Amino acid sequence: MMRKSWSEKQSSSLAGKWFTFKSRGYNLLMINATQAENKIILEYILEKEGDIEIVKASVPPNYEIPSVVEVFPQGEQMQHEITQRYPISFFPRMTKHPDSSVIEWGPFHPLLPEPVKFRLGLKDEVIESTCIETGYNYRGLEESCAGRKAEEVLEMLERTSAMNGFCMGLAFVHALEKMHGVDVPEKARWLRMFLMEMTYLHASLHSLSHTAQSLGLAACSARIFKLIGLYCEAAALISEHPQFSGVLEAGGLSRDITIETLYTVNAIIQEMEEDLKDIRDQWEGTPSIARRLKKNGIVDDRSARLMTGRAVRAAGISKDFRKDSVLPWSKLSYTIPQAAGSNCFARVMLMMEDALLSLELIDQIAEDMPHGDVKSPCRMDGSGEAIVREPEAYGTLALLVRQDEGRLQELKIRSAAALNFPFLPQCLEGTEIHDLPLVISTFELDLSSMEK
Amino acid sequence: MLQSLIWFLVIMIVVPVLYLIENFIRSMMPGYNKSYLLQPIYRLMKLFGKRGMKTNDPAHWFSIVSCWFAICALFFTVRGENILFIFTSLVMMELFILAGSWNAREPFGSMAAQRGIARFFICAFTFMVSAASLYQVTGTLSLKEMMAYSWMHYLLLKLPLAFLAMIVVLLIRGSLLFFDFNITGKALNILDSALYTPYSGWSLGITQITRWVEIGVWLKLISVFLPWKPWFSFTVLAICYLAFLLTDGFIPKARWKKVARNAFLWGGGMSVMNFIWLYLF
Amino acid sequence: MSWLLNNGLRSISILVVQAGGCRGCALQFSMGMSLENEIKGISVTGNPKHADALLVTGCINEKSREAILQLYEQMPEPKAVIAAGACSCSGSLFRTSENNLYTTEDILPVDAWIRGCTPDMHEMLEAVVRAIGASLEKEGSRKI
Repeated sequence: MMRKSWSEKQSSSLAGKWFTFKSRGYNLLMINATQAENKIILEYILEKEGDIEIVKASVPPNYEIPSVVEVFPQGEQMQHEITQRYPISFFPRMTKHPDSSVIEWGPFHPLLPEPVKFRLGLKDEVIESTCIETGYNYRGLEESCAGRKAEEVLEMLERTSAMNGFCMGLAFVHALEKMHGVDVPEKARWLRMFLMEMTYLHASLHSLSHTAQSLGLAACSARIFKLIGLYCEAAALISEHPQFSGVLEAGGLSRDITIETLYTVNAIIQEMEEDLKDIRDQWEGTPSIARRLKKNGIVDDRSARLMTGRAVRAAGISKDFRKDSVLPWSKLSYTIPQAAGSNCFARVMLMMEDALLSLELIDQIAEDMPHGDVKSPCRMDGSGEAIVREPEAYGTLALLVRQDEGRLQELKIRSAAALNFPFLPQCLEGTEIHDLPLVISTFELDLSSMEK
Repeated sequence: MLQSLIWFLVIMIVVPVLYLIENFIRSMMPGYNKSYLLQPIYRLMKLFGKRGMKTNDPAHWFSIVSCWFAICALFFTVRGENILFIFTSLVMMELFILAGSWNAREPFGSMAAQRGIARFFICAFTFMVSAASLYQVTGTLSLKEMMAYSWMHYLLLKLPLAFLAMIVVLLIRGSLLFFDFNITGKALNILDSALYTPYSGWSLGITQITRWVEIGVWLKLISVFLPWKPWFSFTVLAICYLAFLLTDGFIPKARWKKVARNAFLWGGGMSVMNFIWLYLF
Repeated sequence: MSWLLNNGLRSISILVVQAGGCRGCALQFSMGMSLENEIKGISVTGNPKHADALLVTGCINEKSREAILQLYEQMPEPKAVIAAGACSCSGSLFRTSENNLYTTEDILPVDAWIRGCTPDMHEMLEAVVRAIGASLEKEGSRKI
């Protein structure tokens, strides 16, 4: 269908607003789109150290408006999701059409974490350009949640992603609690922190096993799977579901976890430490592994600053995403690991260090666990709006929740993967096709939370 | 003739047995997929029970011809025939597999065939130079006479580097350790077993048999260098090959170009050095 | 011939297709492959032509439906399809009338179902063997 373009004046006015906020140090948190009578309302939610600003644009259907990517490159995937749902497009389009020999990989392959198709422009097996086709994971979650009760939405969010379901659920619960001014008991906050650390550990282990497989280290991958087995054994003491579905509730937790259980879980979890350190030393000390990892997946500094999670810390930037949370991480003593080089090696070493940090924090939390209730009475049948930014396994996620008389009016999720994903094609340029799975594994794309 | 026939059968049995043992030991290790003792055989049998592989009809027949040449190579080897016959049969075997892969018009198959050609050149070059060295020392190209010479004169002492070069060829053909071109190995990679992409069902089973026969040929050929009785030399090499198979999972897979460079430097380089050494001294 | 076919139960190559889902079932299956000691002979492949069974997890949307059907087409007979997890079997929480998601049964003939969110790893492997058994039985009766 022919798209009409916005007038030059309207376009430059919108771009001007973005530039103004960017120059003031704001970053793009998420883009929300809603369709009202004969127009699509776009909300560019910008954030600077907890301060939220919203730039609005009202666009008639079938119009083409300026792309935010020139100003905020991390918004590419968010725009892509909007174009799939609403009759609107953005210019200039960023999609590259490779002119060299093209090979397709995906959407299903044992080395792909989730369904996604890569259309690679190759020259002598070196990637010249990449087109990534997503949409195989799309379930229409955000639309399905509209009109539902908070408990139902929580249940769905917990099942959005095996790695980040708990984090998403927690972000949603935090949004509700913020909206309704609920005071959560101290023990529940600590237990939530414990479960979050378990989730981080789980995600780090899976990322490591994926990297080991991509390196062709079958024995090492098997060893990491043994550690994941330990994690599952420990998690089974808390909940029958490895991602702790059903444990969260607005106002606290649905069940108490006894201190004895926490100690047992901790004891099982701590058995991993030796193995993790051994694997780390082995990878660090094997020149062929270290060289291959260092040569690949280099993200430039400018892009790394716009990304989230390990990609940021791998560029030598110290950023503690746990501090975004309302949970009492500040009461624990820890140092956030960081690395240099911004390559696969730096990110993989951070996976190891982060897993070890999670072990340390789980130990500290189990030791200092306060006593008391795990749930405070609360009602979630009011109305309101909240935007929260919470840490997740791969960085930060942002959640916009609008509730009307106990029913969810609108839900918008922006996961860490949505921020990092737009930088993958440029990172892949110059990579040999053989190393493609390796780079993907260190990008830790949680597509199920991205595509919803 | 009877002795050759016995050797033929022994090799046809020993190589699958090596893979059975490797598969079983590996499956006992923690974290690995569990499998039956006879797993590779069950797989083979299963493949022959498949039908409806309509998507890749022409490629099927390439696997049969390839297997035929592998069997010819094994036959020539156990008979102790001229080493050039063996070489020619192995070349034909490889070319048919590569042609099949190329014909499939699948990008990964073609990419694997391209790598396969590089692999083929390196192996052919190493084998030819080593064969020339063998001729230089023994004065014959007949495998039977070479064996007799090796038994009397310790061939290994004169051709140590050529022996190592042939071991490299064995590793390349087995897709093992640092010499895996990532086209047929077991480790997961973007191409999977790309050289075998077009084959499925019985033709995949035949390529499996071809591979086993080919490994048997190489084991028997390389055992010529060892100064013991043929059965003992063959057993020693078979055990070494099993050890390589078992350690393969602990070695990271490298890019194929790097593998090709390594293979050429180690395989080709050592065979050439040994050849020059023979001329000089 | 039936003897050849029966060996299929002892050597099963699985192609895991994770459609739109949380990835939990696919991870659980990988865990089962690594940690399960009782059920043997199952391996994972990335090539549909080398696969005996298709294990589908997650809800299937229009885009993944086409890709899954293409894969299924390339698999040689006898082949089995396993629907793993609540999303794949029934759409679970995500299936509403508006979002046009399919269950595995909507698009392919399913030989075994593993319900639950997330299903037990042992049950998953058991279902794989059961599905292959069913497909071999069908194949046997076709020959008779």
